[in-house]
Amino acid sequence: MAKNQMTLDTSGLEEALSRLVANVGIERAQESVEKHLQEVGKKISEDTIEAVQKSNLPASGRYSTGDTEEAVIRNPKVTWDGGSAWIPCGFDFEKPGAGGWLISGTPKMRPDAQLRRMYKSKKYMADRQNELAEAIWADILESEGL
Amino acid sequence: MRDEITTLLESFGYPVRLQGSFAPSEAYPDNFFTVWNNTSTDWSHYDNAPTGTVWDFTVYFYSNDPSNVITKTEAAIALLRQNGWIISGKGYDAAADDPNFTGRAFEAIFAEIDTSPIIRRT
Repeated sequence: MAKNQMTLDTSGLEEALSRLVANVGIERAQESVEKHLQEVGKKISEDTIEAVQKSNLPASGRYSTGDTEEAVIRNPKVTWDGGSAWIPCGFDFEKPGAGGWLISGTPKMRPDAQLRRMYKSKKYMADRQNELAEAIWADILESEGL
Repeated sequence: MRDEITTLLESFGYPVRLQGSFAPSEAYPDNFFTVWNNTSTDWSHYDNAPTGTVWDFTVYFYSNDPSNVITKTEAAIALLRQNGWIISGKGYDAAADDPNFTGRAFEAIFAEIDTSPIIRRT
């Protein structure tokens, strides 16, 4: 996986997923998890797209190419690995124009603050992981009539 | 801590600048460092006051000599580690605006901890 590649996953939610499966069955539980992964992943995509709008970029966006927005991951496929699921999110760094330069900056362009917050600090993805966890727990509580 | 890390890097005899501070038409020196302070977060708390600060910097080295990029980056990592900085790995490639230059970068963390036995709020 490329450096700076972000992923959203269900790590730490094994007990919650087991409980959800016990309540609604494996098929419905999978649908629920995939739906919530896609929803939170969509927010990450939208935040990335907003961050790379030229008006929001340093150096008047001259380091952003027309390919930059095209390199943002949309509608990612959910991958299941045993009882855990994950999706890639943010930039697809295998595509040209993916905003690696915007994250690291160059000697003539400071790093983009929003992208740094998303890709380099732990808080942004920790908040997204919490949103995912809350959504799954809401489904669990609903399935238990709470 | 920017002053501290800058002073350490200046010991290599190359300019140390803020990442992004070069003007569009400004020529690069043959070899130079840039730094960027990503975050500064509280170490922990006592009596509602922080007991120190964790500084997170990215250090970049650029050169028109590709072999120098590798050796000086490794030397910078070694020097910072000797002075209490925490660095994981050996860095990664960093893009330069000038096709004649290559660069490498790494994250450097410093825990500036208040070791006073009693921490008083001002």
